[in-house]
Amino acid sequence: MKFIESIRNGLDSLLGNYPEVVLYGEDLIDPYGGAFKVTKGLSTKYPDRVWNTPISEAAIIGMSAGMAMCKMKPIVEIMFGDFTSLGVDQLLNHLTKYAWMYNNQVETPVTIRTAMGGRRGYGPTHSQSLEALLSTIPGLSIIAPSHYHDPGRILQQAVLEDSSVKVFSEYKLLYPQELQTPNTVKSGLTLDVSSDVYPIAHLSNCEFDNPEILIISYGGNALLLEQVLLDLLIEYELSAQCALPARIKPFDPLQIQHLISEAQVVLVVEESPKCHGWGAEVVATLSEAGLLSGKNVFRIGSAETPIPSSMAQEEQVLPSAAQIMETISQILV
Amino acid sequence: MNASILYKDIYKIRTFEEKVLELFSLGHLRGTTHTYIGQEANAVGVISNLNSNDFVVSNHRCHGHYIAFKKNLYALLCELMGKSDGVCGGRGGSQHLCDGTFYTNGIQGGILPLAAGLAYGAKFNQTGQIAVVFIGDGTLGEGVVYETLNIASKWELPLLVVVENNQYAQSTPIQLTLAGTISKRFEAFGINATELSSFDVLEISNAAKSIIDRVRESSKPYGLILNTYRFASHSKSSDGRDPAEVESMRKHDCLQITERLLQESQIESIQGIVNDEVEKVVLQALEA
Repeated sequence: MKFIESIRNGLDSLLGNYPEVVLYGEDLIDPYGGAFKVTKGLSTKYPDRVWNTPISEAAIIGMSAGMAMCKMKPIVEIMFGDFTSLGVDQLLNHLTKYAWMYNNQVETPVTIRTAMGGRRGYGPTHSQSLEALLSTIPGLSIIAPSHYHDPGRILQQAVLEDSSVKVFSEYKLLYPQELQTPNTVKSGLTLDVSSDVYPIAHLSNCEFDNPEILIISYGGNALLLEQVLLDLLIEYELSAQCALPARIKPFDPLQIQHLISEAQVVLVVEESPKCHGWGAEVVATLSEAGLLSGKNVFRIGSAETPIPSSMAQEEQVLPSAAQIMETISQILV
Repeated sequence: MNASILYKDIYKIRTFEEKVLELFSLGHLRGTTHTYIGQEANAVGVISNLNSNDFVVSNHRCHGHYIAFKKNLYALLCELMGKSDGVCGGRGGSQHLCDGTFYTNGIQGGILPLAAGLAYGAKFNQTGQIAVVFIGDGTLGEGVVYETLNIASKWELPLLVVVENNQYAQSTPIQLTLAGTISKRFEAFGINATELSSFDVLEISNAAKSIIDRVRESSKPYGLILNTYRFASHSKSSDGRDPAEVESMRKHDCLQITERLLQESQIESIQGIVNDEVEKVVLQALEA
């Protein structure tokens, strides 16, 4: 099954089984079915609970809080992750504040689905990965599964069981990807997915649990990292493992501390800007716990410039497999 | 609507707010507070026509709306004083109240989507509730107001938007900030609106009653523009308005206008009851 189908099936199951679930956003009804076609067919099947909105991100994000207070389970689609900025006041000063500042008299179980990431040539305002920016909002959960997870199931659990305000980040290039399981994973790699509600997928180029290189990342970066793991093995015979948490905030990196003991290199990879990024938070947490002393620690993320439309220029700004390989080989080879 | 009942709520808000200012200057409250003194007839006139399970969403200047709707002076004062008996356990303070179906927030305009979402929920669940949101003239500068008006009209949400035009956005007079008219803003979105320049609570209440009935029956949004005036300064900051202007507006004091409808004995009786309640609440809250 493809990543996009898994999410669509998850939405279908939610709408089919739970009359309090509604799904709305810009351009998501049939025949168009959403800018990335994730919702195709759903408005035909559930015409009363799947609808299009005006281009009004602040209002549609904000309204979800009122709906949630009326015991509805709203899922809002924001077409491009970049457009969540138009709803940041609602996320920062309203949705994530209500439950706490009202002394838990209300709950706002809202899910905001949005497509993030570059490499499609959309340029500066339609290519960003804003997980790091959004992660600075206290109380906002950020879920960003990879194709090594079961995104549809994670989405269902998030909508039904997680009462926090959630951004569900869908990496654009993952949509056509086949989901990977321990049985289908590429030759040379092993996959182990934890049993947490928000699982951590462990992708490894070796059989053992104490790799020389530990890479912590999430979401669509897995597309780069699966190649990096194979290249490290084939070119340098280095053992490496990727930890890919499905939920990157809250995320306690100490959950993966058992992987650090033998690691000579700890690398955090994200497509958000490296400066003030998610990687900085992960590294700081591990460092405060005394787990990084004597290790080579690197963060790889986007450069501090807008994301160019040109493919050649974009490659210079976003993290690349070559950049990751070079960073590692400078230390270990 | 009975004038003595409305008078009691107006007097209660006025007395409470004056007490709040007094307690503030004595150091029992911190942060800031935006009093409703002068505008009481708006909250009382509108809210007296609501059902107890309707949604009321208000703004930074929310004490009057809270008292008119929920009437729990002790829980409100404790909230303002940051005490655990407050409506939000002291977490929210003056601008961030929640009690049942009453919600406020301190960001201009951002409360409109919440109110529209509540109206959507009421319609979706077919509960017969409506949502009423109170905003001020200064809030009309915020873009999200217009996003929400557009959606509320298009989706036919049972939402009453009350604009209390007290002529000032903090210190800035409306002449410096508002292009066009307020009513035409509603008109542009196909939302009917009524504009009222009145300090007479009975007149406001009668207008609000027919509007609220209409919102409930038609499940369509409506605008109610109440041209009003506040006698106190914006918050705890200095008042830059011309004192002569403020003084000249005192002849439009809704409290005195309502008193003219009552017997002297009624007024004394109501004032006595409310004064006792406020005094008791203050003592309780100070000890809490």
